[in-house]
Amino acid sequence: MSLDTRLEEAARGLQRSVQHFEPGSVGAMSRRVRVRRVGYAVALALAVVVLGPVFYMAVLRGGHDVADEPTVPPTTAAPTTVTPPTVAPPATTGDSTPATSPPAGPEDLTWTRVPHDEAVFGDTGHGTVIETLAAGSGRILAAGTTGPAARGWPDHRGTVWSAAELSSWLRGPDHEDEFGVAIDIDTVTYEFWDVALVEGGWVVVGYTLEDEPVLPIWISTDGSAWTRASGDVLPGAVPRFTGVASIGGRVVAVGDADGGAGRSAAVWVSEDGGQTWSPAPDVESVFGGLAVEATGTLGGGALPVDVTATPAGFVAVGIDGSGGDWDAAVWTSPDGLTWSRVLHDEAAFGGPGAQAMTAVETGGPGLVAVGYESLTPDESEPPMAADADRDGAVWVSVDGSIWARVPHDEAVFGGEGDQVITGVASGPVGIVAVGRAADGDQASAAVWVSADGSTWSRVADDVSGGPNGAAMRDVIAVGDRFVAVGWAGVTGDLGTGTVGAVWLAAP
Amino acid sequence: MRDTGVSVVKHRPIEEGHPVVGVPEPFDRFYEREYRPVVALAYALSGSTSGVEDLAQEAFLVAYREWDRVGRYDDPGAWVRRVVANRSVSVWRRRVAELKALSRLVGRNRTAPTEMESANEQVWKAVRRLPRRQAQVVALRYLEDRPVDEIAGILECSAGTVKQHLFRARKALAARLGEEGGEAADES
Repeated sequence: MSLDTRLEEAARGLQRSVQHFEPGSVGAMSRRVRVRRVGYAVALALAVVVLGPVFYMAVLRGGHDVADEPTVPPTTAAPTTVTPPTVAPPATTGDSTPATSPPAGPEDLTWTRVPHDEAVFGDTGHGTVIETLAAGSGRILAAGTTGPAARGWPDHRGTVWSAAELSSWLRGPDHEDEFGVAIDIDTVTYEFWDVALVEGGWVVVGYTLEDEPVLPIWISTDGSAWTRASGDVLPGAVPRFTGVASIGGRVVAVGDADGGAGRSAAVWVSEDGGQTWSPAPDVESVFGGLAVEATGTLGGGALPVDVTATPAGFVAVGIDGSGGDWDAAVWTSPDGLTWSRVLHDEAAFGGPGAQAMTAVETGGPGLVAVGYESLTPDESEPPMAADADRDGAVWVSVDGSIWARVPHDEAVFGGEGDQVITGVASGPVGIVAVGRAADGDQASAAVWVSADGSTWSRVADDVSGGPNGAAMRDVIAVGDRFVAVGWAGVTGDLGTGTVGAVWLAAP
Repeated sequence: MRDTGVSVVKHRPIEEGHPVVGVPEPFDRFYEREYRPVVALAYALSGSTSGVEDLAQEAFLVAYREWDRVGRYDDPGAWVRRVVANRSVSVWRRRVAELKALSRLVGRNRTAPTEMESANEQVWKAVRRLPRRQAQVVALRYLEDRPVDEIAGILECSAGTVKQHLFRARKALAARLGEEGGEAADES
């Protein structure tokens, strides 16, 4: 039987089978839809509450900094510089007005959101999120995911955005064919979680679920045409990468891998600008093996979440469960191959509850790491549960070997509900950290600023236009300005979802 | 045109921004005529046995609320199909995933198969495993017997893109179903 014949038979069979469906009255249709919508809302609420801990890793993967450009200045204290895109005057919307007096610091930055364009940032029926961005070669490249309205569910596609001017964004490739993803399964998912400018082009890392074990790393010379990087992946231990950074042609990606028994650290290295990759040696001995068991309980190991480049080498940050609860953790490497754990200091990395680092960047006294702390009742529980009451946290270091926690200030990093910091960047004006603040179902993007990394203040919530379901995930400095990416919540005819969002901050 | 067993109007590409001036047909008549083929499309793409009517009705409800506008389009049926096609493979999968996740958690059994699943289900399962656009193109091509330009209008892409998706889809389906003729598509 030919394919055409088989498809035509299947079509006729399906057409016959729907003949018993009665449309009913229009009024009944309207009532039925309303009732079902309430039912789905209840189901979704149950799923979020009950399954929250199961998906904590999806939250953990956070936005990540991109101090990856080969033009990183030779002193750790100097801010990252990049070849800036054309700087157009920031778009002003609503009541936002430029500052009229010379800025005294980053708290005087004026924040505006790039006007929404459905063709670029997505429509209301989908969940478009921009996770990360990097600048260089006269442009900004951002990466994220488009898919169903809710994050963490299957059927997501990696997507790239670019901007030659800060306020003028284009949506790049967003189809699996353009990234060489061979989709042959029901629950299609591949997502982009971090991007870096490397020698000779760009590298995007993330997560993919395909028939064959494939490395979730893509490379591009121009940010437009992408190919898959090569590297042998063991079946049953496909890594997923949450951070990537480069020094010259050497590129390091960090994340985790599921070997069946649970999740362990993954560190992969490329020495040819991202084209071919292999695992770093001795990862298990440095990171401690199994970090999260398949059951969701702590395995005693650690996981790197983000990595950045410094003149002395690479610095990775993440979480460590060896002490019986989650603590923040830092690792350093001169070459990306040989890693050392920074000695655990309970005062800096631990304390009551759980602590997690989500991003690290050069700045302040040398390095600034951000993340969060959770004073959950049960300290063995992951600190990322959906209903967690987390507070933002910041750490600083001169050279990566010794770290200090910025003292917790409830008025700055805490408050009602959940505050999470997922991205940080340093520029001439100061340091900006971004994330999300949520109280119940009221969530908004959140911004923290500091002149030196030690003293922080929180910018008013109206940066994102009030509680609108928005979140900032990552931020970079471009000249004396900052560009942040994330998403905004939207509701429309096609349902409730998120659209990608870009914010600009100018002195 | 094949005898599909349902009334199929002659479709033209959608020009959503340029509605045809005139009086829309009564919504009830449109709903009655298009309901079953839209349910079939929803099933072909979502595979849900329990929620295809919800999916179809949500799309019709959007059209109903905007009927003064949507009803004046060249082809309101194509507009509804676009909504269903997009929701079937995106939002709908999320809902299915939510329910599956809940089922795993509380140990419930999955929805029992209905008579719909016996209708050449192997073929439609293979279609659903295709990339999103390929699945949509195949469903509109074979289930609704639409030519390439109409499919392009519904999915808001070029005829060339539709042909490309159809070519790849047929090749993949031929391999999965073990059939001949995967590359000999009539793509007119």
